[in-house]
Amino acid sequence: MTDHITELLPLYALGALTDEEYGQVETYLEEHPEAEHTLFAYTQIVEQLPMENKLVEPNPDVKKALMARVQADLATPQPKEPSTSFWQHIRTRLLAPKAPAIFVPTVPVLLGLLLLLLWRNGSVVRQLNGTITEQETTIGEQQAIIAEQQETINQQQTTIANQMDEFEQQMAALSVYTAVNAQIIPVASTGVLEDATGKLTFDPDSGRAVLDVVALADDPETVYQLWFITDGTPLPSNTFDVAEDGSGRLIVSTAVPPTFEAIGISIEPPGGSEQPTGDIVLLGET
Amino acid sequence: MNLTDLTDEQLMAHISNRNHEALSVLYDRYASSIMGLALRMLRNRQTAEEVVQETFWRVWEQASSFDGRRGTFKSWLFSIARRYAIDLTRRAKVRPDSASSQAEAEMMLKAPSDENVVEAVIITIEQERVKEALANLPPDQLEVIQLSYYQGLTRREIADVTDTPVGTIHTRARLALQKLAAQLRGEGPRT
Repeated sequence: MTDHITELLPLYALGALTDEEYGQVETYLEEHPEAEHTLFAYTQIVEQLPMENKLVEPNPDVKKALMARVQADLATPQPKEPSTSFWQHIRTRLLAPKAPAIFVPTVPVLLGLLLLLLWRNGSVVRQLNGTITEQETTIGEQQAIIAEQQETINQQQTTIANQMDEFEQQMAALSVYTAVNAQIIPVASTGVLEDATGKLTFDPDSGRAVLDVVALADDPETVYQLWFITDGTPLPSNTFDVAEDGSGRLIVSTAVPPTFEAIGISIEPPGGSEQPTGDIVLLGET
Repeated sequence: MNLTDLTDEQLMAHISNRNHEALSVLYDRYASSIMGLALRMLRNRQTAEEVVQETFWRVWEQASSFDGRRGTFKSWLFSIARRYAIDLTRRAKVRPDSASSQAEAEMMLKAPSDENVVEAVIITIEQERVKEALANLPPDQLEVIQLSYYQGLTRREIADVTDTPVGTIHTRARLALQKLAAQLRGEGPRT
């Protein structure tokens, strides 16, 4: 058997053995290292055989493609390989010659690229998730700020609306106060609220009137109501509140009778009444 | 450190450490030789270039499996290229194309740059020396070399093709290599 194996050494160098025979020779070489010298002498001769061929320059793109594959491989994390002769044998003797020409070099590259893609995709997904979470947090914070700002705007709009109402009331009152034929009807306390006083300014041309009062009591559970007294009968008009200092102004929006002999202000439940139910606190005659 | 000054084996050590520049140097050193060998075997430029790329890819990928005690890098490199080319041939992937014409083959030849003229002359001398050594082999021994090395036949396949006992193929292969060794050492032809 040993003699037979040594006969295979020239053919081993020439590459004229089957995979099984390559394995036999390599096993023999491991057990008989002295045979390495003989094999080395043969391979030195065989390696000169290609020298008889002319040198032919490959297309420059071949090197570019090769180095691109290498760069892609460098970007791929390398798994640690077992350095056994078995693995080397599988890789150099079995895998390379038998696998499809394109498949053999492509599989590790594809696997590498796949791992790289998976790794990078995972990393990208994690980064994206982190970014999305951060952006969701930012959006939430911004939405809270926007809601806060919207509330402020609403409050400001309410304030503006109130100020507009007040302004309109003041303008309305001003127009009554400055009316050419305006009449002023003073109102005085009936004794219920001693310091209470006030006046009704009435413009007979427009039919509008403004009531100003002072020193009334600020009771949140009641309202004051204006009455126009015609032929001894009180006609209900608007209700109103006063400020904490007891002052108040009413722009009369109900129809003012063309003629009336007196006006009165009574204390009424919220919403007012059809007939006076509470004390008359202010009274004035035309 | 200039990588171009390093030996093949030193460059392989760098490649084992994943130094791509070392691979680039080896490519520049041997790509034309591999291309010439592949073209000789396949007679198809496109496929020969595939052999070049795959050969050096395997050098990169399998650098750790290279064992300098078993042979030189050059031997290992050409064996990779040969096996790949033979595999392509066996799979009938290669069909000779017009590149086999002498005119186009000449156009493919590597044109040496001015600084490589001396190197080109040395290579040419080496080519002639190997050609002469092969030409001096007895035809039956040369046939074993051609069938095994360039056509990738196994010893049993050679025996079948030549209708010769396997033992005789063993003898012819051994004698052929011994004679080539003697002639390349300058000892002249022996029969």
